[in-house]
Parts: sequence; C-alpha cells; structure tokens
Amino acid sequence: MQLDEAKTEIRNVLNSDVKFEGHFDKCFDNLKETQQQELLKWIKECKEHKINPIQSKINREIIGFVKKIGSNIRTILTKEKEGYFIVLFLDKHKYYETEMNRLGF
Amino acid sequence: MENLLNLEKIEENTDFVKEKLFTEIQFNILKKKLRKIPLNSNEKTYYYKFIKPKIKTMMTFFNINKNNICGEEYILKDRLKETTELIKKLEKKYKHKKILISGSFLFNKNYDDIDVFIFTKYSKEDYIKAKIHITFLQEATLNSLFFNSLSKISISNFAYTQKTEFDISMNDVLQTYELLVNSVLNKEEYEKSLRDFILKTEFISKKVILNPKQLFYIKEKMMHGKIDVLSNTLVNSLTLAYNKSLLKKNLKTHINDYKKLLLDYKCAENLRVYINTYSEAINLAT
Repeated sequence: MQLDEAKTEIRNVLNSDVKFEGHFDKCFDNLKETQQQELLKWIKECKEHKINPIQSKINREIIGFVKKIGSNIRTILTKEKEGYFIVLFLDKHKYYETEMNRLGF
Repeated sequence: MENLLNLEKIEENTDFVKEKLFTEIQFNILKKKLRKIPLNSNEKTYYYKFIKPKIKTMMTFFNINKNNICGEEYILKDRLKETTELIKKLEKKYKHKKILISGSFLFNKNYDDIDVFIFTKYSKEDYIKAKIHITFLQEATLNSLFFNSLSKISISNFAYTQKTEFDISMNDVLQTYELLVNSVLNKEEYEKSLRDFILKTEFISKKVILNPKQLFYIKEKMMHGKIDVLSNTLVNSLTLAYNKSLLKKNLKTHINDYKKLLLDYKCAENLRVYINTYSEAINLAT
C-alpha cells in the first residue's frame, strides 16, 4: 500500500487530522503488506472501542493504544478522552520506549 | 585503563592522593583526564610519562586486571575467559567506550544470547550478530535501577559506584504493571516488561536490588502469564512501600478514571483488572 494512500485512509477512519510521528514513513514502507493491513485493522478497532486503552500518568485526559508489530516495530495511537485522536506513532522498539515514557504510558 | 578509575573515589581521598602519590599538578591533570576534558600538549606529556605508568604499576601490584568483575562467584569459569576475550575484541571496534557484559550467558549453561551493553553519548540502533546482542545505552542509564541490577553479575572495562537508592514513584510502578497486564492480555511478548516489574516491586517493597541470576529465577517462575500472581505481587509491594493515605488517594483516582473509561470501552478487560487490583490494595491498606 502506498504511504499517502494509507495516511488518507487512517485519517478517514479516525475522522481526525491525526499526526504521524516517529519514523512513520520509513517504518510503514518497510512493513509487509499483511502487517500494513494488520495496522489498519487495529486502527479501525481502536476507533470502534474494541482495543484496551491505557491512561497517561502525566495527563489523565489522554489515553493511548499500543501494539507490537513483528519483533521490533511498535505503534502508539493517542487520543483525548473526550475528543479527537492526536498522534499515530510508529517506530522501532527503542524509540517506542522513549516515547512511552515521554507520554506517561 | 582510565575507565577503571573512579573519579568519586579519587576525590574522596584527595589529601591522601596528593600527599603520597601525585603532585598537585599531576593530580589536577588526572582529574581533568577522568572528566574527559582535553589535555594540552604539556599536560599530555605529564599524563603519559608520569601519571599513567604510576597507576599501571599500582594496578599490577594489587592484581587488578583490565576488567572489572562483579559477582565472580556466580560466573561460570569458562565464561569468564570467553567474556574477557570478547571485551578485548569489542574494545577494538568501540574505542574508548564503556563496555559491560551481563545476563544469563555468565551464569547459566544454557543461554539464548550474550548481552553486551555499550555506553554512548547518543542513542544508537541496537543489533544482534551471531549470538551477540549489542545494546547501546546512554550514560545516564548508569544511575538507573536497571543498570545497578544487571551490573551485579557482570564483566566490564570500567569502574562504577553501585547505587543503593532510587526514587521510584508510585505512578511509575503502576505504569509498569498496567503495561505488563495489557501485554499479557493482548498475548504479546512481555518478558522485558515482566523483568522491569519484578525489579521495581522488589525494590520498592524490600529495598532489594536483585542480581541478574535472582531476577532470571523469579522471572522464569512468573512467565506463566497468570495475572492474579502479578496483581498480588503489586498489591503487597504497594502496601509495603507507600504511605497508606497517599496510596489510597492515588488508587482511588485511578479507579474512578477507569470506571468512567469502562463506560466507553466496555470490552476493556485490562481496566477491570486494574480496578480490582487497586481496590484490593486499598482494602489491604485500610
């Protein structure tokens, strides 16, 4: 799947002008087609409240959803509790850990 | 060789060092070198001609070899030699870097890989080559509970002072527990989160810094993914570690938040687990 096409689809699914952070473009391009589909399916499930949320310890108004893709890629989708999805982070495990700490997850 | 000298210890013994070992100038040059401040050509001459040979001689007298070995009694004899040789090889590739080898390779006959930690100024990509797992850590990690645990059975090319006090907040522990439970429920790999959880709960409740062998043993026992065991561990640790009123106040806030979230996320099994666990901790603290 093309990167721009995926970003448009994600924004449509989430109905939000979500930001893409981490080494999103590079990591997404390197995912296998099946992993890309797995990511999109998971995002839909986040929107449909089917995925377990975790709450930030720094800002209680922020929740997040986390997923491991393959052995080294991780994703974090953040959302305002009563509002929009904010950021979709996609990166390698090491950067994911730093981001999780930064967000208070 | 400089990596094995401990600036803190040298500064603690300033009077003795200046009186018996080095002149004032030499002592200041040594401190400068250990602080990694560039030396001018005059200072370099002093350092390499007078200071370094003196230190080298003393190390020979006291049978201090090039590597710093911690928990030698736990290390398998053949692994000691193998590790020393590996550090020597790595030092050629990672010049002047602090290198530490730890993990089950040192104390278990069976092991998955050899854990090598290299300390750098900036974050770098980790990699696995053959059975060697290289992890790049920033120097700030030297002050962490993680480092002070893993270094208890280790071989390194540098000296460090073991820390015994760590400020681990309640939210930090809750965060570790919540992520661990979430990974277990999602059937994702959770070994690293579990290690982190065990280390923190043992420290906050008993002030014990587990060595890698103890941590390995407890982790193996808890790798069955039974959430009740994890939750009971957390409840006991929280009640032993924190002030009761502070504990109740914080956990009540969490419970209220999660109950509200459950109205929107009705399938969220993790939130139910958190609510039950935190309620139990409040009951035990009451």
